[in-house]
Amino acid sequence: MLMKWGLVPSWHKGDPAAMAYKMNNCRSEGMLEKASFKRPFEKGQRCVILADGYYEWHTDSNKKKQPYFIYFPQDKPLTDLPLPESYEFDFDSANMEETEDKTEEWTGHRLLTMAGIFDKWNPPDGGEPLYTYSIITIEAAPSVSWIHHRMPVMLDGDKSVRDWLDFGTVPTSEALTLVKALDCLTCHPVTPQMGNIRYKEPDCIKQFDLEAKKEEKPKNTFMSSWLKKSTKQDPQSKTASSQDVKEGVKKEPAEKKTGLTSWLQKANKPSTLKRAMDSASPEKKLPSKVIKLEEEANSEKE
Amino acid sequence: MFEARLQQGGLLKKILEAVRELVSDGLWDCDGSAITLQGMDSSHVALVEMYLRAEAFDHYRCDRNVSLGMNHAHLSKILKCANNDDIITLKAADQDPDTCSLILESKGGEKTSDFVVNLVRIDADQLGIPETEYSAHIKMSAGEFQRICRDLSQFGDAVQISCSKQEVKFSSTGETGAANITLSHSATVDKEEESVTVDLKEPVDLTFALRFLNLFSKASPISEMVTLSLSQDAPLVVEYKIGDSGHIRYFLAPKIQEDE
Repeated sequence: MLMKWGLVPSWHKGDPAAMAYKMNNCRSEGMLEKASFKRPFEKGQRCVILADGYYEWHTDSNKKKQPYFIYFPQDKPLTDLPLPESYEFDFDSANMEETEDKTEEWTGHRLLTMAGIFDKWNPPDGGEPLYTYSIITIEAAPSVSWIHHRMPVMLDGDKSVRDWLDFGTVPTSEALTLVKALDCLTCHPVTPQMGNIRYKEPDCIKQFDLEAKKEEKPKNTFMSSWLKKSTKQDPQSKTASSQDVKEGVKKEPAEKKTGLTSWLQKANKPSTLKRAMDSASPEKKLPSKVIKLEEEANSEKE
Repeated sequence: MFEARLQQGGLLKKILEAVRELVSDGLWDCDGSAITLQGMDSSHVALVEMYLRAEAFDHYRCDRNVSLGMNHAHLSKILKCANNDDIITLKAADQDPDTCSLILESKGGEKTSDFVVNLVRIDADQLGIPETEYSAHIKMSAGEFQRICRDLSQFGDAVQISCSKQEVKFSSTGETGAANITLSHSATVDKEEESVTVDLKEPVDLTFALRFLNLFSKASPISEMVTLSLSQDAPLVVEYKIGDSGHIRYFLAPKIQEDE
Protein backbone atom coordinates (compact mmCIF):
# COMPACT_ATOMS: atom_id res chain seq x y z
CA MET A 1 0.00 0.00 0.00
CA LEU A 2 1.23 3.46 -0.80
CA MET A 3 1.69 5.95 2.01
CA LYS A 4 2.30 9.64 1.60
CA TRP A 5 4.70 11.66 3.67
CA GLY A 6 2.95 14.34 5.73
CA LEU A 7 0.36 13.12 8.17
CA VAL A 8 -3.29 13.88 7.46
CA PRO A 9 -5.36 13.06 10.58
CA SER A 10 -8.35 10.82 10.11
CA TRP A 11 -10.73 13.57 11.22
CA HIS A 12 -9.35 16.15 8.80
CA LYS A 13 -12.04 18.06 6.90
CA GLY A 14 -11.54 19.36 3.42
CA ASP A 15 -8.83 18.85 0.89
CA PRO A 16 -5.85 17.05 2.39
CA ALA A 17 -3.56 18.84 -0.05
CA ALA A 18 -4.59 22.17 1.47
CA MET A 19 -3.58 21.41 5.03
CA ALA A 20 -2.40 24.35 7.08
CA TYR A 21 0.71 22.56 8.34
CA LYS A 22 2.80 19.95 6.74
CA MET A 23 3.11 17.25 9.34
CA ASN A 24 6.22 15.67 7.89
CA ASN A 25 7.89 15.44 11.24
CA CYS A 26 6.51 14.71 14.64
CA ARG A 27 8.42 15.92 17.67
CA SER A 28 8.70 13.04 20.10
CA GLU A 29 8.49 15.49 23.00
CA GLY A 30 4.97 16.61 22.15
CA MET A 31 3.86 13.41 20.50
CA LEU A 32 1.63 12.34 23.37
CA GLU A 33 -0.01 15.74 23.74
CA LYS A 34 -0.94 16.63 20.20
CA ALA A 35 -4.09 14.88 19.08
CA SER A 36 -2.84 14.49 15.52
CA PHE A 37 -0.03 12.25 16.70
CA LYS A 38 -1.38 10.95 19.98
CA ARG A 39 -4.43 9.25 18.53
CA PRO A 40 -2.70 7.21 15.81
CA PHE A 41 0.11 6.36 18.22
CA GLU A 42 -2.28 5.08 20.83
CA LYS A 43 -4.08 3.06 18.19
CA GLY A 44 -0.79 1.35 17.41
CA GLN A 45 -0.46 2.91 13.97
CA ARG A 46 3.31 2.69 13.95
CA CYS A 47 5.37 2.37 10.82
CA VAL A 48 8.97 2.23 9.71
CA ILE A 49 10.27 4.56 7.04
CA LEU A 50 13.08 3.23 4.88
CA ALA A 51 15.63 5.48 3.24
CA ASP A 52 19.19 5.35 2.03
CA GLY A 53 19.96 8.16 4.41
CA TYR A 54 19.01 11.74 4.97
CA TYR A 55 20.58 15.14 4.52
CA GLU A 56 21.22 17.85 6.98
CA TRP A 57 22.89 21.22 6.42
CA HIS A 58 25.62 22.41 8.69
CA THR A 59 26.23 26.14 8.91
CA ASP A 60 29.91 26.84 9.45
CA SER A 61 31.53 29.81 11.14
CA ASN A 62 31.46 31.72 7.85
CA LYS A 63 27.69 31.19 7.68
CA LYS A 64 28.21 28.91 4.72
CA LYS A 65 25.96 25.89 4.48
CA GLN A 66 27.44 22.49 3.83
CA PRO A 67 25.16 19.48 3.33
CA TYR A 68 25.95 16.17 4.99
CA PHE A 69 24.61 12.77 4.06
CA ILE A 70 23.67 10.84 7.22
CA TYR A 71 23.22 7.07 7.13
CA PHE A 72 23.77 3.81 8.96
CA PRO A 73 27.36 2.58 9.00
CA GLN A 74 27.88 0.25 6.04
CA ASP A 75 30.03 -2.82 5.51
CA LYS A 76 31.08 -1.47 2.16
CA PRO A 77 31.41 2.26 1.62
CA LEU A 78 28.50 3.79 -0.23
CA THR A 79 29.60 4.88 -3.65
CA ASP A 80 26.43 4.88 -5.64
CA LEU A 81 22.83 4.05 -5.03
CA PRO A 82 21.21 1.39 -7.15
CA LEU A 83 18.76 3.77 -8.71
CA PRO A 84 17.94 3.23 -12.36
CA GLU A 85 18.51 6.17 -14.64
CA SER A 86 14.87 7.10 -14.87
CA TYR A 87 13.28 6.06 -11.68
CA GLU A 88 9.54 5.78 -11.77
CA PHE A 89 7.66 4.50 -8.85
CA ASP A 90 5.14 1.84 -9.71
CA PHE A 91 2.15 3.27 -7.89
CA ASP A 92 -0.33 0.71 -9.11
CA SER A 93 1.52 -2.35 -7.94
CA ALA A 94 2.51 -0.59 -4.72
CA ASN A 95 -1.14 -0.15 -3.90
CA MET A 96 -1.96 -3.78 -4.56
CA GLU A 97 -1.84 -6.38 -1.89
CA GLU A 98 1.54 -7.98 -1.53
CA THR A 99 1.96 -11.13 -3.51
CA GLU A 100 4.49 -13.82 -2.82
CA ASP A 101 6.99 -12.98 -5.51
CA LYS A 102 7.32 -9.48 -4.09
CA THR A 103 8.83 -10.60 -0.81
CA GLU A 104 12.36 -10.87 -2.12
CA GLU A 105 14.95 -10.09 0.47
CA TRP A 106 16.81 -6.82 0.18
CA THR A 107 20.47 -7.50 -0.44
CA GLY A 108 21.78 -4.00 -1.03
CA HIS A 109 23.30 -1.60 1.42
CA ARG A 110 21.87 -1.18 4.89
CA LEU A 111 18.88 1.12 4.76
CA LEU A 112 18.00 3.67 7.35
CA THR A 113 15.03 2.53 9.46
CA MET A 114 13.20 5.49 10.94
CA ALA A 115 10.29 5.34 13.33
CA GLY A 116 7.05 6.90 12.19
CA ILE A 117 3.35 6.96 12.81
CA PHE A 118 0.64 6.81 10.20
CA ASP A 119 -3.01 7.58 9.83
CA LYS A 120 -5.76 6.76 7.40
CA TRP A 121 -8.02 9.42 6.01
CA ASN A 122 -11.23 8.56 4.26
CA PRO A 123 -12.39 11.03 1.67
CA PRO A 124 -15.93 12.25 2.37
CA ASP A 125 -17.02 11.23 -1.12
CA GLY A 126 -16.04 7.67 -0.37
CA GLY A 127 -13.01 7.34 -2.64
CA GLU A 128 -9.79 5.46 -1.95
CA PRO A 129 -8.52 6.01 1.60
CA LEU A 130 -5.41 8.14 1.94
CA TYR A 131 -2.60 6.75 4.06
CA THR A 132 -0.12 9.28 5.39
CA TYR A 133 2.77 9.20 7.80
CA SER A 134 5.01 11.40 9.87
CA ILE A 135 8.60 10.75 10.96
CA ILE A 136 9.27 11.04 14.68
CA THR A 137 12.14 13.36 15.55
CA ILE A 138 14.17 13.82 18.69
CA GLU A 139 17.02 15.89 20.12
CA ALA A 140 20.04 14.74 18.12
CA ALA A 141 22.58 12.24 19.42
CA PRO A 142 26.19 13.48 19.76
CA SER A 143 27.40 11.86 16.52
CA VAL A 144 25.20 14.14 14.45
CA SER A 145 24.18 16.92 16.83
CA TRP A 146 27.06 19.11 15.64
CA ILE A 147 25.36 19.23 12.23
CA HIS A 148 21.81 19.78 13.39
CA HIS A 149 20.15 19.67 16.80
CA ARG A 150 17.33 17.34 15.72
CA MET A 151 17.32 13.90 14.15
CA PRO A 152 14.77 11.24 13.17
CA VAL A 153 14.22 8.47 15.70
CA MET A 154 16.21 5.47 14.48
CA LEU A 155 15.26 1.86 14.96
CA ASP A 156 18.61 0.14 15.12
CA GLY A 157 18.45 -3.55 14.32
CA ASP A 158 15.79 -6.05 13.33
CA LYS A 159 14.44 -6.49 16.83
CA SER A 160 13.69 -2.83 17.29
CA VAL A 161 12.06 -2.70 13.88
CA ARG A 162 9.94 -5.75 14.62
CA ASP A 163 8.89 -4.50 18.06
CA TRP A 164 7.97 -1.15 16.64
CA LEU A 165 5.79 -2.68 13.95
CA ASP A 166 4.25 -5.36 16.14
CA PHE A 167 1.40 -3.30 17.55
CA GLY A 168 -0.42 -6.48 18.51
CA THR A 169 1.97 -7.69 21.19
CA VAL A 170 4.10 -4.62 21.90
CA PRO A 171 1.92 -2.04 23.64
CA THR A 172 2.25 1.69 23.10
CA SER A 173 4.02 2.21 26.40
CA GLU A 174 6.68 -0.32 25.50
CA ALA A 175 7.06 1.03 21.98
CA LEU A 176 7.70 4.40 23.54
CA THR A 177 10.96 3.08 25.00
CA LEU A 178 12.25 2.74 21.43
CA VAL A 179 11.85 6.47 20.92
CA LYS A 180 15.29 7.63 21.91
CA ALA A 181 18.28 9.32 20.35
CA LEU A 182 20.56 6.46 19.32
CA ASP A 183 24.18 7.11 18.47
CA CYS A 184 24.09 4.77 15.51
CA LEU A 185 24.64 7.08 12.56
CA THR A 186 27.56 8.07 10.45
CA CYS A 187 27.85 10.90 7.96
CA HIS A 188 30.02 12.58 5.40
CA PRO A 189 29.89 15.88 3.54
CA VAL A 190 28.39 15.84 0.04
CA THR A 191 28.42 18.27 -2.83
CA PRO A 192 26.45 21.45 -2.10
CA GLN A 193 24.88 21.00 -5.53
CA MET A 194 22.57 18.36 -4.11
CA GLY A 195 20.60 21.18 -2.52
CA ASN A 196 19.05 21.74 -5.91
CA ILE A 197 16.17 19.29 -6.30
CA ARG A 198 16.87 19.00 -10.00
CA TYR A 199 20.39 17.77 -9.29
CA LYS A 200 20.31 13.96 -9.51
CA GLU A 201 23.94 13.00 -10.03
CA PRO A 202 25.51 10.08 -8.13
CA ASP A 203 27.71 12.46 -6.15
CA CYS A 204 24.62 13.44 -4.18
CA ILE A 205 25.79 10.76 -1.77
CA LYS A 206 29.50 10.68 -2.52
CA GLN A 207 32.01 11.91 -0.02
CA PHE A 208 32.79 15.50 -0.86
CA ASP A 209 36.24 16.93 -0.38
CA LEU A 210 35.71 19.99 1.80
CA GLU A 211 39.25 21.20 1.19
CA ALA A 212 38.79 21.12 -2.54
CA LYS A 213 35.63 23.17 -2.20
CA LYS A 214 37.60 26.15 -1.02
CA GLU A 215 39.22 26.42 -4.39
CA GLU A 216 36.52 27.20 -6.84
CA LYS A 217 36.52 25.11 -9.93
CA PRO A 218 38.70 26.87 -12.42
CA LYS A 219 36.58 28.04 -15.28
CA ASN A 220 39.64 28.86 -17.25
CA THR A 221 41.85 25.80 -17.47
CA PHE A 222 44.50 27.54 -19.50
CA MET A 223 46.73 28.06 -16.51
CA SER A 224 46.46 24.53 -15.16
CA SER A 225 47.14 22.94 -18.53
CA TRP A 226 50.12 25.22 -19.04
CA LEU A 227 51.51 24.32 -15.65
CA LYS A 228 51.18 20.64 -16.44
CA LYS A 229 53.70 21.11 -19.19
CA SER A 230 56.41 21.70 -16.67
CA THR A 231 56.50 18.13 -15.45
CA LYS A 232 56.07 16.66 -18.89
CA GLN A 233 58.76 18.66 -20.57
CA ASP A 234 61.24 18.44 -17.77
CA PRO A 235 62.21 14.87 -17.10
CA GLN A 236 65.36 16.02 -15.35
CA SER A 237 63.57 18.21 -12.90
CA LYS A 238 62.82 15.01 -11.03
CA THR A 239 66.42 13.91 -10.88
CA ALA A 240 67.55 17.36 -9.98
CA SER A 241 65.53 17.16 -6.82
CA SER A 242 66.84 14.04 -5.22
CA GLN A 243 65.59 15.26 -1.89
CA ASP A 244 62.06 15.16 -3.24
CA VAL A 245 60.59 12.31 -1.27
CA LYS A 246 57.37 12.34 -3.22
CA GLU A 247 59.12 11.26 -6.40
CA GLY A 248 57.32 7.96 -6.49
CA VAL A 249 53.91 9.53 -6.42
CA LYS A 250 52.65 9.48 -9.96
CA LYS A 251 49.89 11.99 -9.63
CA GLU A 252 52.15 14.63 -8.16
CA PRO A 253 51.39 17.59 -10.38
CA ALA A 254 54.51 19.43 -9.45
CA GLU A 255 57.46 19.00 -7.25
CA LYS A 256 58.27 20.64 -3.97
CA LYS A 257 60.61 23.56 -3.60
CA THR A 258 60.37 24.80 -7.13
CA GLY A 259 62.25 27.95 -6.43
CA LEU A 260 65.39 26.14 -5.46
CA THR A 261 65.13 23.13 -7.69
CA SER A 262 64.47 25.17 -10.77
CA TRP A 263 67.52 27.24 -10.01
CA LEU A 264 69.52 24.10 -9.38
CA GLN A 265 68.21 22.57 -12.51
CA LYS A 266 69.10 25.57 -14.57
CA ALA A 267 72.51 25.50 -13.00
CA ASN A 268 72.91 21.89 -13.97
CA LYS A 269 72.34 22.63 -17.59
CA PRO A 270 73.91 25.89 -18.60
CA SER A 271 72.27 25.77 -22.02
CA THR A 272 68.77 25.65 -20.61
CA LEU A 273 69.76 28.29 -18.16
CA LYS A 274 70.67 30.66 -20.89
CA ARG A 275 67.51 29.99 -22.80
CA ALA A 276 65.39 30.37 -19.73
CA MET A 277 67.04 33.63 -18.94
CA ASP A 278 66.56 34.89 -22.43
CA SER A 279 62.94 33.99 -22.36
CA ALA A 280 61.95 34.94 -18.86
CA SER A 281 63.64 38.28 -18.73
CA PRO A 282 66.19 39.70 -21.09
CA GLU A 283 68.73 40.84 -18.61
CA LYS A 284 68.73 38.65 -15.58
CA LYS A 285 72.06 38.44 -13.88
CA LEU A 286 73.41 35.10 -12.83
CA PRO A 287 73.52 35.35 -9.06
CA SER A 288 76.70 34.32 -7.33
CA LYS A 289 74.81 31.77 -5.28
CA VAL A 290 73.67 29.95 -8.37
CA ILE A 291 77.12 29.85 -9.85
CA LYS A 292 78.29 28.30 -6.66
CA LEU A 293 75.48 25.78 -6.76
CA GLU A 294 76.28 25.06 -10.36
CA GLU A 295 79.87 24.29 -9.47
CA GLU A 296 78.76 22.11 -6.65
CA ALA A 297 76.31 20.29 -8.84
CA ASN A 298 78.91 19.74 -11.53
CA SER A 299 81.47 18.45 -9.10
CA GLU A 300 78.85 16.13 -7.70
CA LYS A 301 78.20 14.77 -11.13
CA GLU A 302 81.83 13.97 -11.62
CA MET B 1 66.03 27.23 13.35
CA PHE B 2 64.97 29.79 10.80
CA GLU B 3 65.90 33.41 11.31
CA ALA B 4 65.96 36.22 8.81
CA ARG B 5 66.65 39.86 9.57
CA LEU B 6 65.68 42.47 7.07
CA GLN B 7 67.22 45.91 7.44
CA GLN B 8 64.64 47.55 5.21
CA GLY B 9 61.41 46.33 6.74
CA GLY B 10 59.49 48.34 4.20
CA LEU B 11 60.43 45.76 1.57
CA LEU B 12 58.51 43.03 3.36
CA LYS B 13 55.53 45.34 3.68
CA LYS B 14 55.62 46.04 -0.05
CA ILE B 15 55.97 42.36 -0.91
CA LEU B 16 52.99 41.44 1.22
CA GLU B 17 50.91 44.23 -0.26
CA ALA B 18 51.79 42.88 -3.68
CA VAL B 19 50.49 39.38 -2.99
CA ARG B 20 47.89 39.48 -0.27
CA GLU B 21 44.90 40.40 -2.36
CA LEU B 22 45.69 37.78 -4.94
CA VAL B 23 46.50 34.95 -2.54
CA SER B 24 44.82 34.99 0.87
CA ASP B 25 46.96 32.21 2.38
CA GLY B 26 50.45 31.52 1.14
CA LEU B 27 53.15 29.01 1.81
CA TRP B 28 56.45 30.78 2.45
CA ASP B 29 59.09 28.18 1.72
CA CYS B 30 62.38 28.97 3.35
CA ASP B 31 65.55 27.11 2.50
CA GLY B 32 69.25 27.75 2.80
CA SER B 33 69.37 30.21 -0.06
CA ALA B 34 66.02 31.93 -0.42
CA ILE B 35 62.43 32.44 0.59
CA THR B 36 59.95 31.41 -2.07
CA LEU B 37 56.25 32.07 -2.06
CA GLN B 38 53.91 30.62 -4.63
CA GLY B 39 50.20 30.84 -4.84
CA MET B 40 47.26 30.86 -7.15
CA ASP B 41 44.17 32.96 -6.90
CA SER B 42 40.98 31.13 -6.01
CA SER B 43 39.86 30.87 -9.63
CA HIS B 44 43.20 29.42 -10.76
CA VAL B 45 43.62 31.99 -13.46
CA ALA B 46 46.55 33.80 -11.93
CA LEU B 47 49.70 32.62 -10.23
CA VAL B 48 52.23 34.57 -8.24
CA GLU B 49 55.78 33.57 -7.49
CA MET B 50 57.89 35.60 -5.13
CA TYR B 51 61.55 34.76 -4.82
CA LEU B 52 63.74 36.53 -2.30
CA ARG B 53 67.35 35.45 -1.97
CA ALA B 54 69.13 35.22 1.34
CA GLU B 55 71.36 38.10 0.21
CA ALA B 56 68.45 40.47 0.66
CA PHE B 57 68.71 39.96 4.42
CA ASP B 58 71.53 41.23 6.55
CA HIS B 59 71.26 38.07 8.63
CA TYR B 60 69.84 34.85 7.27
CA ARG B 61 69.96 31.47 8.85
CA CYS B 62 67.96 28.43 7.83
CA ASP B 63 69.20 25.16 9.28
CA ARG B 64 66.42 23.11 7.82
CA ASN B 65 63.91 23.89 5.12
CA VAL B 66 60.70 25.18 6.61
CA SER B 67 57.36 26.01 5.05
CA LEU B 68 55.44 28.74 6.79
CA GLY B 69 51.73 28.77 5.99
CA MET B 70 50.85 32.42 6.36
CA ASN B 71 47.43 33.95 6.47
CA HIS B 72 48.21 37.14 4.61
CA ALA B 73 45.49 39.12 6.33
CA HIS B 74 47.02 38.30 9.72
CA LEU B 75 50.52 39.02 8.51
CA SER B 76 49.36 42.29 7.09
CA LYS B 77 47.98 43.37 10.48
CA ILE B 78 51.42 42.90 11.97
CA LEU B 79 53.27 44.61 9.17
CA LYS B 80 50.92 47.57 9.38
CA CYS B 81 52.53 48.17 12.78
CA ALA B 82 55.93 48.49 11.14
CA ASN B 83 57.47 51.65 9.77
CA ASN B 84 59.25 51.46 6.46
CA ASP B 85 62.64 51.89 8.10
CA ASP B 86 62.00 49.37 10.85
CA ILE B 87 64.20 46.31 11.01
CA ILE B 88 62.07 43.18 10.72
CA THR B 89 63.19 39.78 11.95
CA LEU B 90 61.32 36.58 11.13
CA LYS B 91 61.83 33.58 13.34
CA ALA B 92 60.45 30.06 13.28
CA ALA B 93 61.33 26.71 14.73
CA ASP B 94 62.83 23.97 12.59
CA GLN B 95 60.29 21.20 12.74
CA ASP B 96 56.80 21.87 11.50
CA PRO B 97 56.43 25.15 13.32
CA ASP B 98 52.94 26.20 14.39
CA THR B 99 53.87 29.82 14.78
CA CYS B 100 56.24 32.36 13.35
CA SER B 101 57.61 35.29 15.32
CA LEU B 102 58.10 38.74 13.91
CA ILE B 103 60.20 41.31 15.67
CA LEU B 104 60.06 44.94 14.66
CA GLU B 105 62.86 47.23 15.79
CA SER B 106 62.80 50.92 15.15
CA LYS B 107 65.78 52.36 13.32
CA GLY B 108 67.19 54.07 16.39
CA GLY B 109 66.68 50.96 18.45
CA GLU B 110 64.46 52.67 21.00
CA LYS B 111 61.38 50.62 20.25
CA THR B 112 60.95 46.89 19.83
CA SER B 113 57.67 45.13 19.12
CA ASP B 114 57.30 41.44 18.77
CA PHE B 115 54.43 39.43 17.39
CA VAL B 116 53.53 35.82 17.02
CA VAL B 117 51.47 34.75 14.08
CA ASN B 118 49.75 31.38 14.11
CA LEU B 119 50.53 29.51 10.96
CA VAL B 120 47.84 27.91 8.85
CA ARG B 121 47.93 24.53 7.21
CA ILE B 122 48.22 24.77 3.48
CA ASP B 123 48.32 21.56 1.51
CA ALA B 124 49.09 23.13 -1.83
CA ASP B 125 52.04 21.66 -3.60
CA GLN B 126 54.68 23.79 -5.13
CA LEU B 127 54.06 24.15 -8.81
CA GLY B 128 56.70 23.63 -11.39
CA ILE B 129 56.66 26.58 -13.72
CA PRO B 130 57.41 25.50 -17.25
CA GLU B 131 60.24 27.12 -19.06
CA THR B 132 58.69 29.02 -21.86
CA GLU B 133 60.03 30.89 -24.82
CA TYR B 134 58.19 34.13 -25.07
CA SER B 135 57.44 35.88 -28.32
CA ALA B 136 57.59 39.34 -26.86
CA HIS B 137 59.14 41.13 -23.93
CA ILE B 138 58.09 44.61 -23.01
CA LYS B 139 60.03 46.48 -20.40
CA MET B 140 58.50 49.65 -19.15
CA SER B 141 58.01 51.85 -16.14
CA ALA B 142 56.08 50.04 -13.42
CA GLY B 143 54.19 53.21 -12.65
CA GLU B 144 53.23 53.63 -16.28
CA PHE B 145 51.93 50.08 -16.44
CA GLN B 146 49.89 50.62 -13.31
CA ARG B 147 48.50 53.81 -14.79
CA ILE B 148 47.54 52.13 -18.05
CA CYS B 149 45.75 49.30 -16.27
CA ARG B 150 43.94 51.67 -13.98
CA ASP B 151 42.94 53.99 -16.79
CA LEU B 152 41.69 51.21 -19.02
CA SER B 153 39.67 49.68 -16.17
CA GLN B 154 37.31 52.61 -16.54
CA PHE B 155 36.37 51.46 -20.01
CA GLY B 156 36.21 47.71 -19.84
CA ASP B 157 36.93 44.56 -17.88
CA ALA B 158 39.62 43.29 -20.18
CA VAL B 159 42.63 44.64 -21.96
CA GLN B 160 43.83 43.48 -25.31
CA ILE B 161 47.59 43.66 -25.57
CA SER B 162 48.86 43.57 -29.10
CA CYS B 163 52.50 43.77 -29.80
CA SER B 164 53.85 44.39 -33.26
CA LYS B 165 57.04 45.77 -34.72
CA GLN B 166 58.28 48.38 -32.33
CA GLU B 167 55.18 49.14 -30.41
CA VAL B 168 52.68 47.74 -27.99
CA LYS B 169 49.02 48.64 -27.89
CA PHE B 170 46.76 48.29 -24.88
CA SER B 171 43.08 48.43 -25.79
CA SER B 172 39.90 48.12 -23.89
CA THR B 173 36.34 48.16 -25.15
CA GLY B 174 33.24 48.58 -23.09
CA GLU B 175 29.71 49.93 -23.19
CA THR B 176 30.88 53.51 -23.23
CA GLY B 177 33.26 53.07 -26.13
CA ALA B 178 36.85 52.08 -26.67
CA ALA B 179 40.24 53.16 -25.39
CA ASN B 180 43.64 52.54 -26.92
CA ILE B 181 47.03 53.37 -25.49
CA THR B 182 50.07 52.80 -27.64
CA LEU B 183 53.65 52.78 -26.40
CA SER B 184 56.53 52.92 -28.83
CA HIS B 185 59.98 51.48 -28.36
CA SER B 186 62.13 54.28 -26.97
CA ALA B 187 65.24 52.78 -25.45
CA THR B 188 67.32 55.83 -26.26
CA VAL B 189 65.83 57.97 -23.54
CA ASP B 190 68.42 58.76 -20.88
CA LYS B 191 66.27 57.99 -17.92
CA GLU B 192 65.68 54.28 -17.75
CA GLU B 193 62.35 54.60 -16.00
CA GLU B 194 60.95 56.53 -18.93
CA SER B 195 62.11 54.13 -21.60
CA VAL B 196 60.04 51.43 -23.21
CA THR B 197 61.79 48.39 -24.60
CA VAL B 198 59.93 46.14 -26.98
CA ASP B 199 61.78 42.95 -27.78
CA LEU B 200 59.73 41.05 -30.31
CA LYS B 201 60.22 37.69 -31.98
CA GLU B 202 56.69 37.23 -33.19
CA PRO B 203 53.67 39.51 -33.07
CA VAL B 204 51.28 38.65 -30.26
CA ASP B 205 47.71 39.62 -29.56
CA LEU B 206 46.15 38.51 -26.28
CA THR B 207 43.38 39.61 -23.96
CA PHE B 208 43.57 39.64 -20.17
CA ALA B 209 41.29 40.49 -17.29
CA LEU B 210 42.16 43.93 -15.98
CA ARG B 211 41.07 42.98 -12.49
CA PHE B 212 44.15 40.79 -12.16
CA LEU B 213 46.50 43.24 -13.82
CA ASN B 214 45.38 45.84 -11.29
CA LEU B 215 46.21 43.39 -8.52
CA PHE B 216 49.60 42.70 -10.08
CA SER B 217 50.44 46.36 -10.34
CA LYS B 218 50.23 46.60 -6.56
CA ALA B 219 53.85 45.45 -6.78
CA SER B 220 54.83 48.75 -8.43
CA PRO B 221 56.42 50.19 -5.27
CA ILE B 222 58.92 47.31 -5.35
CA SER B 223 60.52 48.15 -8.64
CA GLU B 224 60.82 51.08 -11.03
CA MET B 225 60.50 48.80 -14.01
CA VAL B 226 58.22 45.97 -14.98
CA THR B 227 58.72 43.37 -17.69
CA LEU B 228 55.79 41.84 -19.52
CA SER B 229 56.48 38.61 -21.37
CA LEU B 230 53.90 37.36 -23.80
CA SER B 231 53.41 34.33 -25.92
CA GLN B 232 50.35 33.19 -27.78
CA ASP B 233 50.19 29.83 -26.00
CA ALA B 234 51.43 30.73 -22.53
CA PRO B 235 50.25 32.91 -19.69
CA LEU B 236 51.38 36.50 -19.54
CA VAL B 237 54.28 37.06 -17.17
CA VAL B 238 54.49 40.33 -15.28
CA GLU B 239 57.80 40.54 -13.52
CA TYR B 240 59.04 42.99 -10.93
CA LYS B 241 62.63 42.72 -9.74
CA ILE B 242 63.30 42.99 -6.05
CA GLY B 243 66.59 44.84 -6.34
CA ASP B 244 69.29 42.36 -7.25
CA SER B 245 68.03 39.81 -4.82
CA GLY B 246 64.84 38.40 -6.14
CA HIS B 247 61.64 38.97 -8.05
CA ILE B 248 57.89 38.81 -7.99
CA ARG B 249 56.44 37.18 -11.07
CA TYR B 250 52.79 37.09 -11.86
CA PHE B 251 51.36 34.70 -14.40
CA LEU B 252 47.96 35.29 -15.91
CA ALA B 253 46.03 33.07 -18.27
CA PRO B 254 44.59 34.96 -21.21
CA LYS B 255 40.87 35.37 -21.51
CA ILE B 256 39.31 32.85 -23.82
CA GLN B 257 35.96 33.24 -25.46
CA GLU B 258 34.35 30.31 -23.64
CA ASP B 259 34.88 31.60 -20.15
CA GLU B 260 32.80 34.70 -20.59
